[in-house]
Amino acid sequence: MSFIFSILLIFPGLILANDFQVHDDFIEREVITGSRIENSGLFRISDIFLLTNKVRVNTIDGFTWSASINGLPSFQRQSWIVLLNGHRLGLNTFSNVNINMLPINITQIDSVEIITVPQIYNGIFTDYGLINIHTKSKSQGTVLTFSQSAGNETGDPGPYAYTKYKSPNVEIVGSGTSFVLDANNNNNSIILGMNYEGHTLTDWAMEKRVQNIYSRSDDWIIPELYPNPSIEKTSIFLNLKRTGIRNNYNILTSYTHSNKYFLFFQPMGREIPIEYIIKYVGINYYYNFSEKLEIAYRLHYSNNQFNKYPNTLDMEFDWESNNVHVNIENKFRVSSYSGKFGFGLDRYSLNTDYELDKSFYDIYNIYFQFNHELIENINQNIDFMYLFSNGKRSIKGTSITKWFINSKHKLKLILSKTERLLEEGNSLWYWSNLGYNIINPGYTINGDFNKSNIFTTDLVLESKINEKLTVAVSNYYRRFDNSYLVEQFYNINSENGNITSSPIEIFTNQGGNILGVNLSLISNIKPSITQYFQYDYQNEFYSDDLFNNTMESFPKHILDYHFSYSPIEDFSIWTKCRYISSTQWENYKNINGLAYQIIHQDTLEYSDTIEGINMIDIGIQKWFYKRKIKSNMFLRNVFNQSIRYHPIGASFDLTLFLQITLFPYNIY
Amino acid sequence: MKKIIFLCLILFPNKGLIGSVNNNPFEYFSLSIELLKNVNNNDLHHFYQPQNGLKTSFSSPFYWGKIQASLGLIPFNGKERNYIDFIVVQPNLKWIKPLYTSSKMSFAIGGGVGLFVFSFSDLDDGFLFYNWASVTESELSSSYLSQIQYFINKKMSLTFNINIDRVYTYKPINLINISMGIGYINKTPDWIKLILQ
Repeated sequence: MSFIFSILLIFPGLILANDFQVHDDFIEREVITGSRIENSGLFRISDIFLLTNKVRVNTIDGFTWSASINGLPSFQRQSWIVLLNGHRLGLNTFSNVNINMLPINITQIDSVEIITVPQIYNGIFTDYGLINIHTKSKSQGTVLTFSQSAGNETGDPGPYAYTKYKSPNVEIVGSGTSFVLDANNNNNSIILGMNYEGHTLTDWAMEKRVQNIYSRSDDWIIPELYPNPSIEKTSIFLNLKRTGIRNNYNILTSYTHSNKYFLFFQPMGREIPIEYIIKYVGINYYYNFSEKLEIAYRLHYSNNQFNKYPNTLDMEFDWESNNVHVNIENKFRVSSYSGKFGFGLDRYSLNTDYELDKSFYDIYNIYFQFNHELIENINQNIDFMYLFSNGKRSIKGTSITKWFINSKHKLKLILSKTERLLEEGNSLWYWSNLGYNIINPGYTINGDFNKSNIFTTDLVLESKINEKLTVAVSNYYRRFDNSYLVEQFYNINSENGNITSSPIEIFTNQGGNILGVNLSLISNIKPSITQYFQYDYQNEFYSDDLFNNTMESFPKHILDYHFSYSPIEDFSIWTKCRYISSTQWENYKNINGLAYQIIHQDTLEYSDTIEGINMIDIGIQKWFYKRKIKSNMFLRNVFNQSIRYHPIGASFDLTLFLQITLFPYNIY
Repeated sequence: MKKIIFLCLILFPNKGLIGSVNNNPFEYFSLSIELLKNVNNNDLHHFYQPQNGLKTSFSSPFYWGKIQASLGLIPFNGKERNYIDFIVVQPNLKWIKPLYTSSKMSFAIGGGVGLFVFSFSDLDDGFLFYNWASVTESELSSSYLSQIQYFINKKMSLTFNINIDRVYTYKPINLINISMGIGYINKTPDWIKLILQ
């Protein structure tokens, strides 16, 4: 059936192509521009999720975010991919993707591409979406940048600390420090960056369970400076680029180290402190033989370690995962066709003292992309990938058809059919089957881990009404089959905050449907004023019970409004308003009504229902000293509403953020 | 809903706000020193007795209206021994909109944000660099201002302010302060303009 579908996808392209054009821009993406990032008050990398409503997110601690891109939820596992300047840094571990563990700082981001449909991008099939972050880079000269930021959340006791109204301290949200050297000489560029980020975990909803497992004995520097549990991340990266007449390459190496990282381990339903290390080195190389032929290769190596940090459970993950990613791609133009042909290899290996049946496995893929003009004003792109591993195969295909109705309107139809192997996610369950017995007392699997299937359609109408107004409306449908979902119910001991879990059951044949609609308006009524209005709705229907329960934890409605005004180059003011509808978390139904904090006459309780979120942010940006100093001051959640994303997660109250960026050396 | 409408009125584009950008900000400055008195009475005052305080501020024309940076100090004494005395150190940044200006008088309103740093004075530890967090508490505040200035001459003025501050502690603190003082007005030195622009 899959083969037939794939052939059907390709066939019309082969027989109907009558003209040839190179259409590199068949990537279906949302782009968050640098100017929008600059005028939005972002504190951490994960704050880019606040600028798109095609990504549904939730977080427990505010540092690790789960995301679902454009109705492509990987449900309880995070399988979306993060690239940094086209490099795959290996953040996907244990069903988590923490974008904040990238070696950069939010101030270094130039723009963000979000791939919102399954298709081939840089040799990767984006089953669950992909985010490619581009860092700032000068084309000429040398720039030295130093940045410092801090955030302070409200809700401390203040002078009431010594009265009957006393309450625990909330403490600061965290801080960030970064240093970047960007040096350019002719066609060569070198960027060296160092970053530190701290994030405290003192919210009352999670304080007890975090305090109970956290051993303070070996806090670094002066223990009194860090009296509270916090995540600390230090990182360094080096990016070398060369652009020649025929060839160009981009080499990236990075090291991210969190001496103390609180990993939310889903099978236990709680945070475990670990030492988290991510190492990476990779090259992307392009060589132009002629206008009709280009060869690209990408060679990436990442190493991901979860080492022991002293904890009261004496829990040790003993996990060192390696990934080698190789991709060779030939971009060509033959007769009336253009496209790409490529193949790739991913080797995943695990170093651990657990006795494994096999310590590595390989995934091979071969793929092609064709694009051509189907008929006048209608272009089509076909992506096809054949993937095999451990004797199993999967097929993935996408068709993107664009109809240029006239100079103002464009209609796009995107169809995709994806099969996905368990091996592709480097998942905890795969390694558990091979003997990585970290989950104790184990789990039950109902059925077999077959290939999961996803069928998607997207219909997108883009209209540039005039120079001041752009409108896009899209409708999307997703069908999931043979997805594996975990059923697990959590309880909390309200005395000490400890979490217990019911036995883990995995159901491997879950299915369901998602239907959604998205509306986006971008308005520039004046050059100095930009407004964004976005609305997204999605809902499931005709789904299995577990699928349905899981989807209930995703908000149905997201509404965004963003206004920014820059009367002069050196000053801007902005506001963002966001509404997110309520969510229901079936697996936390047993915690409903349990108290986690009592303050005078207030009893604060856990709930399996997350109320709708109304968030308004406001901020200003001002440059000083002939653009040598940039300052940002912004308030998040101005009206101090109760904002929570997860039943056992933190509440994000009114918070003040400050950012200062210095450009002490700037020579062109 | 009322809050959203209020915010819309302030922020959303309107001709008055967008059309009248001052192209020569920071042209002059006003430096003032004022005596400060807390005049309201609420839950905090059941535990603490405010004393007279001091405030100094720096104001200058901005792209619209004026911008003001200020620093206030007010001591609070505990009414019982358990309630530890503290001094409020209040750095603040406000935007001020003059509503009426003549050669002798001006009337303005404004609002802004700042920090309330509660520095507790009687803790056994005393204040040291590494334990600052345990002897001080700081919290975000918003403030609203009404200001009357009487210009004695081109360089000097008398200032009267009413400030309403809201401190976003878990149990919010509302303070109404009045202040009176004297201001000095002068052309902003070029080196300050260089930094600010």
